Amino acid sequence: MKPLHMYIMAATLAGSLFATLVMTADDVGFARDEGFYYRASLRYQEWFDRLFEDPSAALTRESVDRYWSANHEHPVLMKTLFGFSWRVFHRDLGWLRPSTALRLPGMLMAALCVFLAVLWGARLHGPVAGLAAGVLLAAQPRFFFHAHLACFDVPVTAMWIATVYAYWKAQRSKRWAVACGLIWGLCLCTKLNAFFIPPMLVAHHLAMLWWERRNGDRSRPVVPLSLVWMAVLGPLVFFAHWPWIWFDPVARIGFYLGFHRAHPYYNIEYFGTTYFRAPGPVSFPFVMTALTLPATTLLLTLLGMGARIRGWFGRGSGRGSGSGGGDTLLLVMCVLWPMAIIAWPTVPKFGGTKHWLPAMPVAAMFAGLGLRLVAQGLVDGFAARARRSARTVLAGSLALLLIAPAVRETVASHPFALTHYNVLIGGAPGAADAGLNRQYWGYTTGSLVEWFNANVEPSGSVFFHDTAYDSFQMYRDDGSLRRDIRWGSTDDADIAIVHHEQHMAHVEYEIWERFDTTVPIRVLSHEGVPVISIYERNIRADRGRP
Amino acid sequence: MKLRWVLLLVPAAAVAEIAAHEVIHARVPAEGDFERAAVVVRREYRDGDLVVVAPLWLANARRALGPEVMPRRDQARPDEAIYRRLWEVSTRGARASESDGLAPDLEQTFGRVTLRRFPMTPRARVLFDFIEAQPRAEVFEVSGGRVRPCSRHGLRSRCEPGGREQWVGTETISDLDHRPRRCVWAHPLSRGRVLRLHYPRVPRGRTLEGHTATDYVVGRHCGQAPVDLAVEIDGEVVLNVQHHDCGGWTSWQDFSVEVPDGPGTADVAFLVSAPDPEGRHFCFQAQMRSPP
Repeated sequence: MKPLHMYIMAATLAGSLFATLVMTADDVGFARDEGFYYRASLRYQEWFDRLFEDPSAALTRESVDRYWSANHEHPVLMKTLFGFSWRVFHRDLGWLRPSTALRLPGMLMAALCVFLAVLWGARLHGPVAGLAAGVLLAAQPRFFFHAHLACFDVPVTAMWIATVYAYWKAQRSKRWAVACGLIWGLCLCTKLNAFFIPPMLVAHHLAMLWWERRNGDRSRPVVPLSLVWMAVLGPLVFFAHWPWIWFDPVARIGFYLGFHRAHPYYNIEYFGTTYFRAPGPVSFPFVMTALTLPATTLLLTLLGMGARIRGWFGRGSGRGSGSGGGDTLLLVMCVLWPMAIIAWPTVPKFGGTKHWLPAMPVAAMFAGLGLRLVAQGLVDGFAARARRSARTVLAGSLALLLIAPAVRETVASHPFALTHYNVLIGGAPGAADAGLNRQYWGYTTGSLVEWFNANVEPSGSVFFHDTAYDSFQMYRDDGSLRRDIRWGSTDDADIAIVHHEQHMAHVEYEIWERFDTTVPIRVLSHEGVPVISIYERNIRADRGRP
Repeated sequence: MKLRWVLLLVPAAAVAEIAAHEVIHARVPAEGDFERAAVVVRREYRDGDLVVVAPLWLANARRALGPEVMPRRDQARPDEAIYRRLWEVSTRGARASESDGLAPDLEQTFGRVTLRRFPMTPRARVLFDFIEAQPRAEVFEVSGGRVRPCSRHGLRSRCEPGGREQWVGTETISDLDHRPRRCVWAHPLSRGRVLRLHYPRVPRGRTLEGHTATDYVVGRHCGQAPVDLAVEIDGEVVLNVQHHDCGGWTSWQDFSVEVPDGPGTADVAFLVSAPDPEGRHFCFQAQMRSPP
């Protein structure tokens, strides 16, 4: 396949995902963190307003601190993009709702993930495998969910895969080495995960250096140019992008790193136990991956990975899995390293699978390879003498069959992907029985907005539980929630909702007491598993607290 | 086995996955299944019945059953000692722990929902429930022999200004097993003072039985100071209990004391104190009980 065709194929698939995300954005409620990022994004835009009006005033320390102190525990690249997207597509053009405009850059990053998975997958494993990689990435229920959000997990996944792709290209290109440094700088500007890329690349480089020199090949430089450019450009880009650190870089970068070094252990339920402090279960990322990826995709990933490793060690035919041992090692590291970081017992575990999303594009590339090998193997095995057109139809049908479970599951999971588990655990009901995390971030409130609009009394109040206040405001600003509906507490609200998570059971019991009932008036469910229960205040209940 | 036959397992797995997904969806009970089971429970329900759902997360079933058969007293119960019958509404073959060892005398299915009823042998009857009577209790702070009444705010009392948790009243907490437990919230007081809850003219039973707990949010840390609970009957201390957050297999720790002989009623007081009251979200539950 010509490179241009490969680009067109990758862009078409990425564009399809992007369009799908925009069309389904309204289904996905606002996650807690999105609320914080919305507020920060709009605050940063106020600074840009000032910058455009009076640059010298905007660039003073006082001004920078006033506008850029919001949410300074994260770098600001994505929040700035969220804000500019809001400015252009909502404020200026009026094309999109505020929330969709804010979410647009995150969706583009998801499309970039798919684009790179197709491109790199096609380069390594052929166009069929590349195309399948893109589909099998987009059709991962949790990736598809996170791709909707104005958060950083999918963007950092895109930056991660872009950095590694650039490193891979830089083995043969000086220009890509510069690009690698630049992209890693942008990755640093996206989320903390970026700090974990250099150790992986250094380990890969050293392993390959040792391996090749052992075999008499001394062509690989001791210090690769890409790592040099990362060391040079990364910090520069990071510093330049973040006004908040300009005037006191040592202290403020120190704060940023310190915040994440001592990050709180949020709650996560895992097989019936809520973990809220170290040590956490080492198996968490591996088991959660096994139970949340569509099962056939998981099988194809393992097959593809196995085929590449087998090809590396020269056992069997390898079946076109690529000859580069260095490539294989890099790809395997890309999948295992993000999970290994989270597996470490003292690393906080929360947020379901989102913290190792950077593993997923390459996992999808393995799955694409697995799909190609299976389809090819079956066509060769059962229809070797058939006409070419028949073989093509058979291979295409097999590919569709292997992709179908993932697409089916992703569609079925929407918009409750954080409640969704694969068939290996019995779906959402099996996971609820097993005591796996039901959801987090309180985003499922979005699925009840129409119910609130129809049922809450005029000027009535609702206790929104895990929904952040800023997310509640966004429902109102977006025009989806009636503006007269007020933010309430369990003490004074007319309606209370509880997002079902094990560690928050006490909130539901508190509602029982305050509302004088144990019976919800409505239960929002996914596959029969309660996601949110709605309680209505019994007027006999005591409203006052001392 | 030839490779092609092995590879055939992969599309077979895809077909199996799609089929399994359909089965999972097909096994989800319809709302009507719960409703039909609930009609039977509501029609047959009588005093002394306990209604449970299995699995425990089945809020949909609780919604269908309705508040008449799921009073808070039962759903956040201290134990199962007083019940005569158990109703179990379940799906997908789940069983409630309360039905362990019991034989059903009724079993019906409604679509994907199974309804079972089990006869139970009560071990006790309740003469007086200190939770239900809490709004009428007299609440004092005791310091160096001085007794001062605490201020009333609706159904609750407050003995000292302070945080959101420093009050006395009824509450439903989550124990360390995430089970609901209704109890009297009695946050210990600062500076060595003792919180005293006085219940006059309590019908005298054979035993006074109860539990102590700290709320899940703080109790799960296991490292904070113990809380002391003393029980007085007619002015005599008959029991001293020390609650440690993780002192037993559960944060819901039971106590029991024989009630001394006497006239038909007794004055009962609970005295709560802690060497360090910081973050001691303590509560207790107690009932005056007699044999059934």
